[in-house]
Amino acid sequence: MRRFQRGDARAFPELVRRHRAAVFAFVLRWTQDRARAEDILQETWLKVVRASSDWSPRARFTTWLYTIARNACVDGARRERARAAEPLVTEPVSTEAHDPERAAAASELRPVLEAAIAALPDAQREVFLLREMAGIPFHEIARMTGAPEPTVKSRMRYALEALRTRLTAAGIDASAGGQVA
Amino acid sequence: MRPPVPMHPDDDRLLELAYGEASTAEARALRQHVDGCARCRHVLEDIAEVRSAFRSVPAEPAPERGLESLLAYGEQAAARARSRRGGLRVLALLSAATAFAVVWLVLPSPQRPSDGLARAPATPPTDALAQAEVRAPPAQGDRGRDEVDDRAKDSKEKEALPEAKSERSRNEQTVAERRRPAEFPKQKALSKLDAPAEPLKLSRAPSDGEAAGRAAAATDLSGALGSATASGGKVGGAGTAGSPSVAMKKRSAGTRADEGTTGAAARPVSPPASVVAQAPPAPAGALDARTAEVAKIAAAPMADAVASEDKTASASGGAASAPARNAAKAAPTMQAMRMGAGSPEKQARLGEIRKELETATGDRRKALLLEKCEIEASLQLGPDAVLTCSMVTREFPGTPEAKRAGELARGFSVQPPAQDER
Repeated sequence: MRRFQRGDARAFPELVRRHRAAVFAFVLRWTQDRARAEDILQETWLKVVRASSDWSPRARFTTWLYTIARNACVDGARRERARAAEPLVTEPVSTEAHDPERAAAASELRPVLEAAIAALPDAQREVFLLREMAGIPFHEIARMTGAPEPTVKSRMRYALEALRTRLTAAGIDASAGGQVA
Repeated sequence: MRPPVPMHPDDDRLLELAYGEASTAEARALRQHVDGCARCRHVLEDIAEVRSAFRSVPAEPAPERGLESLLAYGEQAAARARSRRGGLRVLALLSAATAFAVVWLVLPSPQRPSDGLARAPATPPTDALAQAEVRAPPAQGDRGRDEVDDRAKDSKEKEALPEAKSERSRNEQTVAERRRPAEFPKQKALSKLDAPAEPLKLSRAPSDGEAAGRAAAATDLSGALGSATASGGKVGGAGTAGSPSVAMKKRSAGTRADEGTTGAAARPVSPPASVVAQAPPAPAGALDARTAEVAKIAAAPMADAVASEDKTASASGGAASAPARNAAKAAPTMQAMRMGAGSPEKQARLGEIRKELETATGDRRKALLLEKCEIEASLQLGPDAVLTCSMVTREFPGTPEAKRAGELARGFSVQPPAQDER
C-alpha cells in the first residue's frame, strides 16, 4: 500500500491479486447475493483507491480494507431495506470447486452453511465474517463496529452457537476436522 | 495478563484461545485447564467444529467483471500520485532555486564587472535618467517567471539589501564600491536580457507588463543615481541605492521637482530624510575626475529633455506619471525578468572596453565608446547606454560616431546632448 501511495503502478494490481477474492467472499457471505456482492466489491476497491492517500501505515491494511468493505455492506443493506417494497431476488451462490470430493462435500454443506449465516442477526454475522473470513482480531472489530470488545465476543459466541445448531440440525458433522486454533 | 482461573474460565477467554488471541502465558494456563475440564474442552470443540465446517466450503472466486477497469483506475491513481510527488519536488527545487537567485542577487560580489561610467560621481538628475530607463520597453514573454521570482525577490531584496549595503559601506573606501551592492546585481541582471531596444513614447499609456518593466528600470536608475548623488557630496546615497521603495520615492519626488525647472542637474534630488540619515559619508577623494565630469555633462541635457517631457506629460493630465506610479508596485518584475537572460560574450567585451578606455585616446577612444554604447543598448542597460552615448556626443561632436550615439540614446527616449548645444 505504501508503494501504491508513492505512485508505484505495479503495487495496486498486487494488492488486488492478494485480497480481492477474500473480500469478495466476505461480501458475498454478508450479502448472500452475488450481484450485490459484485457491486459492493467494486465499490470497496474504488474506495480503496480514492482513500489511498488517507491510509496510514499505523493501521493494518487488511483491517482498513475490510472496514471499507464492511461499511459498503452496511450501506448496501440500508439501501436494500429502503427498497422494502421490492422483493429481494437473490441469485443462488454457485458451487464451484475443482476438487470433486471437496466439491461434493461442499455442495452439501454450502447451502446449509450459507443459510445458517444468512439467518444470523446482522450484528452477529458481521462479527463472525470479520473474524472468520477477514481474520480481524476482536479488539479491532470492536473499533470498527463501535461496539465494546466483550460485546463483540458475545456476538461471536452466539453466532458460533447458532451456526453449530443449524449445522447439526442439518445433519452435518464437521467435528472430524475440528481443531483448537 | 490475567491470572489463570482455577475454576472454569470465562467463555470469552476460551474464544480468545480458539482464535489464537490469548497471550502465550494465558494460552498455556488455559490449555492446562482445558486438558482436565470436559466442559471447557467441549466448548472449544464446538467452536472448532463450526470453523472447520466453514473452512471446508471453498470461497467463491472473485468475479472478473470490473477487474480491468478497476486496475486501470488504480494505475491512473498511481500516476496522479507520482505526478503529485513530482510536482512537489519541482516546487521545492524551484523554491530553492529562487531563494538562491535572490541571495545571489542581493549579496555583493567583488568579481562582478564594474562600469567606469557608472562610478561617475556627478550629480545627475535622478528622475531624468529614471525616466530614460523607464522608456525602455520590457522584455516580452517572461511575465510568468516574473511572478514567481518577484514575490520572493521583492521581500528579500527589501530585507537583505540594506544589510549588504551597510556592510559594504563600512568596509569599502570609494563611492563606486559602495554603490556596487545596489547597482551591480541589477546591471548584471540587465545585461542578461537580450531583448530588443524598442523605444516607447512617453505619452503612451503602458500596459501592465510595460509598467512593471518601467518601474524596475526606474528602480535601477534611482539606485544608481542615488549613489552618484551621494558621491557628489550632496547626500549619502550608497545606502539607499538598492532599495526599490526608496528609489521609487525619490523618483516620484524628483518628477514633481523637475516640472518647471531648467534642469535637474542643477540641483540633485534629495532622498528622504531617513535615507540621508542612513547613508555613509562620501569620500570625495576617491572619485575619478574624468568620468565624473563626463557623466555630469552627459546628465544635464538629458535631464533637461526629460524634464521638458515631464512637463508635457503633466500638462496632458499626468498620463505618463500615473502608469509609472502604478508600475512602482511591480518594480522588481523587470529585474527578475532580466535575470537569466543575457550575453556572456557581450559582458566580457564590455569589460575589455572598460579596461582599454582607461588609457585609450583619440579615435580609439571614440570607437571604444561607441562600441560600448551599442553593447549597453543591446543589453538594455539603459542608464549606462545613455551615459556612454552622451560621452561620445560630448567628446566627439560632429562625427559619425556621435550621430550614431545620438540615435542609440534616442532609442531610450532621451536626447543626448546635441552636438551644437555646448
